[in-house]
Amino acid sequence: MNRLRAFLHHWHWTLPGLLLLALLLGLPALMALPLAFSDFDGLHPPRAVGLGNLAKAWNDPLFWTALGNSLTVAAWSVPLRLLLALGLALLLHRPRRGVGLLRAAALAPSLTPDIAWALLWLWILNPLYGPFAWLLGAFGIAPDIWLTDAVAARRVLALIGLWLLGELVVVLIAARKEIPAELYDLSAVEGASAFTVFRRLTLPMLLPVLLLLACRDAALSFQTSFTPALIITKGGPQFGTLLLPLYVYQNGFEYLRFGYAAALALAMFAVTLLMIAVQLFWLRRWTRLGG
Amino acid sequence: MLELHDLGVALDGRPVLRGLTLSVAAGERVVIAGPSGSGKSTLLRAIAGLSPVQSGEIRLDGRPVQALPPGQRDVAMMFQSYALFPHLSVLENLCFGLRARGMARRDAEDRARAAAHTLDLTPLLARRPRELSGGERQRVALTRALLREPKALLLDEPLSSLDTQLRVRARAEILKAHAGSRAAMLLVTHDQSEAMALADRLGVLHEGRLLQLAPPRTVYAEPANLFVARFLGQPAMNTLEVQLALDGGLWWGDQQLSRRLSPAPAAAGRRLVLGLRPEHLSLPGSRWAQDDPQQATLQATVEQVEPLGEQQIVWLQAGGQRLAARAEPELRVGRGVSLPLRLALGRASWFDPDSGEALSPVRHAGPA
Repeated sequence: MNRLRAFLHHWHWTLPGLLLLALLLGLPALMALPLAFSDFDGLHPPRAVGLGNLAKAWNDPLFWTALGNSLTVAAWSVPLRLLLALGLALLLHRPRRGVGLLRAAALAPSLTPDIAWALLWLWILNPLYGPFAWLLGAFGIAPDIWLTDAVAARRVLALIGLWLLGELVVVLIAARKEIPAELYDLSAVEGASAFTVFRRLTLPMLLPVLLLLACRDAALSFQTSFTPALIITKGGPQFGTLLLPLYVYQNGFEYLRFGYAAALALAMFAVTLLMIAVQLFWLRRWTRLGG
Repeated sequence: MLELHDLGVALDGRPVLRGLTLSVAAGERVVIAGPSGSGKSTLLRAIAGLSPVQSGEIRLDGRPVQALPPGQRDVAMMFQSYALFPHLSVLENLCFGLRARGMARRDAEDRARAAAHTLDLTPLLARRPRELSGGERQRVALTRALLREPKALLLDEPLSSLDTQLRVRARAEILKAHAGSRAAMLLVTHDQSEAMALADRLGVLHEGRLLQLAPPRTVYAEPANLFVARFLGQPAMNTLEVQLALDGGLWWGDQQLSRRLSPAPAAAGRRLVLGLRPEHLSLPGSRWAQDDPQQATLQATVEQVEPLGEQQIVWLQAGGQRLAARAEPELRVGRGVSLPLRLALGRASWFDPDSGEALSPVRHAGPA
């Protein structure tokens, strides 16, 4: 009885949030699960096809392209975003005049709705009237291929994602403030250089948080890259920005292959779990070494 | 040799230290005691270079250092929290300063191992700080501070995070660790027994000013003013507002304490503050009675008795004032009993009631 009370005590604070999550995410996800093993198209009653959808995905070259694209974007944007966020956090953690404004600026892109964010970039990158083209023109560089070449478009997508680092900065500023000031005082008295202080004190103390953020960011990168890919490049050119969530979306809501789309989503879920598992393994190792 | 000359430090425009002059010889231990907020930590931080200095000079072996960054001053500091790196082993913590200054790992580790031996840290070298007890952490921090052989060793409340049992042992360890060192040691604390036990010379800091600096016995027996008198000693010194009559008699209210004092502490007719330590008040029958030629007697009522084991503190009421007396634990004292209390006036301290300064001539001047 007491254990139940303790359990309830801990959990009733998070209950509203959990309920909402269960209702809006958990339930649809559960309902999508049987879909993955059917040929539901929204018009005819679904028939069970067993593992047919998964086998189809295995033999679908576009599935592998989309998976590869998604992993490439994540492989670029996750470490770069983390590095950028770390740099910003170390610049902005100290209370100074105007630092609040800069912190707000770092957080702003993450608070902008995805669609607005993507439309904004569509305008910025427009080769005819976008400010980016104008800026390049000022240096005599012709605006050209950044959205018409498959590889370049993928890089643009990764770069757009780099700005969504507000939450990382907030968490890292908090983590940096948690490091006792006396450790920095001691380092100063002991004559440690700025680089030594970063390498021997700041970085190891932030490492567990950094790794945890990397896990979260990798999982989220599949989601956050969806809207720009849909709005800005629609998967093109030559499937260069066909990301896995976009492919799922197209199959479900454009081609009405709900069963196949559910199976692809299931595969995406498995890949995400695998990525988190690998990183958690490293997290455990590093924190055991580091903490 | 650490020398401070007319040091002034302000934090956020508020003066914290004013005109502080002090020198600590190589190998000497100076303890600065004061209540919280008196500027003790700021003093150490200013010497280490962690707080900016507004005026005055800091010299180490004759070299002015107040313009140098902390790392170039050749001082070591032991922080109240010990500031051990939680992610490094004891050995790595010990080596940190040497490695930061570019010493090769092997050489640094050899030196750390040798030093660790002094305070029995050898079995702990591979552990991390969180696996150590409070006393062990204190020893690691102390060893690390001395490892670089700094010219000055600054200790900020080094024992305050230890429990009472450990403190006495830790005091001895500080003495042991510093014994072979040429570092000028400056320790700040609010704990007076720690201050008395560790100091070659003891300074009392109050509101940024050094009120007295002398060997601990001298500071205890001849406090320079009422603040120092009340700050040192547990319970604090009893202070009575008294008057010297024109005929030389000493009066406390309408009670005459003494017909004549020799030598007289001040000119006849003056108001004075008489300071008497609890051990200078003796209860009838006490073997701890002070053998003093200038005994005075005062009728007092026992209000409360605190048996502390090795002694007892007897709180008495006399003339509307509370007095504390020290007695041996065996003495039977009943509450509410009225008894003649003897005051050892020959050992008393005398203060000016307005300025609080001790009155000269003090009983025995000259070097302590």
